[in-house]
Amino acid sequence: MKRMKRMKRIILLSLLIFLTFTIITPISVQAQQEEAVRVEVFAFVDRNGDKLMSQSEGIENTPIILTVGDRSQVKILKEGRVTFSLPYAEVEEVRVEIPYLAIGDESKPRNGVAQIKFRLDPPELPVYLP
Amino acid sequence: MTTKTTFEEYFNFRIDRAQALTPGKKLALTKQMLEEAHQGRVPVGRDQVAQLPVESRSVKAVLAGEPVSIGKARMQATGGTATMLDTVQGLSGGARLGIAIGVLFVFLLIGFFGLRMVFGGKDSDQANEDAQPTPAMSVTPTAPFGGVVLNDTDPGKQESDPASIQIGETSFVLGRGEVDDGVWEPTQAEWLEGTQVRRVIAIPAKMLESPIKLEDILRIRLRSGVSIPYSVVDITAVQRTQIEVLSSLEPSLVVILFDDTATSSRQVVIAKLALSEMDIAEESEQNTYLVSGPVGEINLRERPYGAVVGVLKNGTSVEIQIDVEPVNDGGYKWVRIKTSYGAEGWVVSTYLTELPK
Repeated sequence: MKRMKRMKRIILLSLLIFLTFTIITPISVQAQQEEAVRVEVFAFVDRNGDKLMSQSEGIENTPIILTVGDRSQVKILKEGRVTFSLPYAEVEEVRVEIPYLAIGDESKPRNGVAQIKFRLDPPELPVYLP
Repeated sequence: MTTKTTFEEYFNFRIDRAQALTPGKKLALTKQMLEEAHQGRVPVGRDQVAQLPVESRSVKAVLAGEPVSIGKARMQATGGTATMLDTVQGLSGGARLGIAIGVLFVFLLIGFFGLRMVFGGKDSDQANEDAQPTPAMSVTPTAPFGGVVLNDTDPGKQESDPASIQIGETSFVLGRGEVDDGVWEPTQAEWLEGTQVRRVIAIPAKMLESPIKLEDILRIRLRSGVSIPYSVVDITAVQRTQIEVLSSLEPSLVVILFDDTATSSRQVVIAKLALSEMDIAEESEQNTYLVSGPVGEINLRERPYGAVVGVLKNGTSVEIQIDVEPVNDGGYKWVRIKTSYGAEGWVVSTYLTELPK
């Protein structure tokens, strides 16, 4: 009889442990998955020609327009970068435009992040003013 | 060759030259050619124009669409085609004699070229290419395009290249300037190729009709049609070796006022992008809505069904915040909005109407 009771306790305890790790845990994981899509925009003049945005190459104070579906938002570039946070669960494609430079590009977020880079070549300047 | 064919060839040549591939650019080019026509410039060949004396009564009448008489024929400009009627009107005896001589001269030329073609001159295609417009009466042929283009240098080629700059009431069409062996030698209004963030422009000082002042708004029109406003922040004389004024990571503009003198300094105007003047509202307009509640106003709430933090009257312009996800609660879709005076909160989306485009 005592053995039977002991067996029941062990089975109940095992069931409790099983439920704890198979049902409760997935709920908390699902809650963590609803994070924002981040759109990172970089715009720079590649003065040293290394194809990367280095310090003192970022374009300043220029309006950037982000368009997602039929909605859009304007932000201003600071030190060559600006970030938009979108809490939508489903963002298929984003479009970013720089009206000042009459350029734009599109990107599809991957793992919650979309990156768009605008790289400009430095102009050839004269050695003295005309 | 008919008038229509000549015009079509000339039009196609202008399209090629201006690289006007979009309907908008073709329309702009058509308007430009119409203006030129009103100034008396008419095509007489694939790449040649003639200058008519616009002060002439007859030319004025044709340009105004009125009937004019030449000898025994009456001509009338009607939508680009001319009709001839058997009516004698208008011109003096001297003019009639001149026209008669001109007509005789034209027939002689036709006969001459006809004989050359028959008796083995150059082949006909080559002869057509070499043919010059016939100088007849008051029509004076000009050098190819010398009289119609406003700038001899090539214009920019990309959408983001500046096409013109407006300073006060004057607009300067910009040519494309290039650096050759470290030297830039503009002869007229030019934009230095490749300068996109700080756009560099040179204008002959003598062409400036009135002085530029601080806080003046200068406008650059890009080839895409976008107008970029700049506000003047500095007007100064710099040494010609101070080329650092040509470079900046801030969206800005530098205008160099140059002249023929060999002085060591130049007057430069520096202007920064005028964000407040920039028309980006049009781009984000699709995000702007008007309040249109059923009782003339709606509540602005702290959160969906939360405390009322304000009342928005119908007609108030609001902007839906793109970075806050709408909430479906109680059968309504709630959106977070911001008003033009800075108030923020939640409203029911049903009571918002999209701004008419």
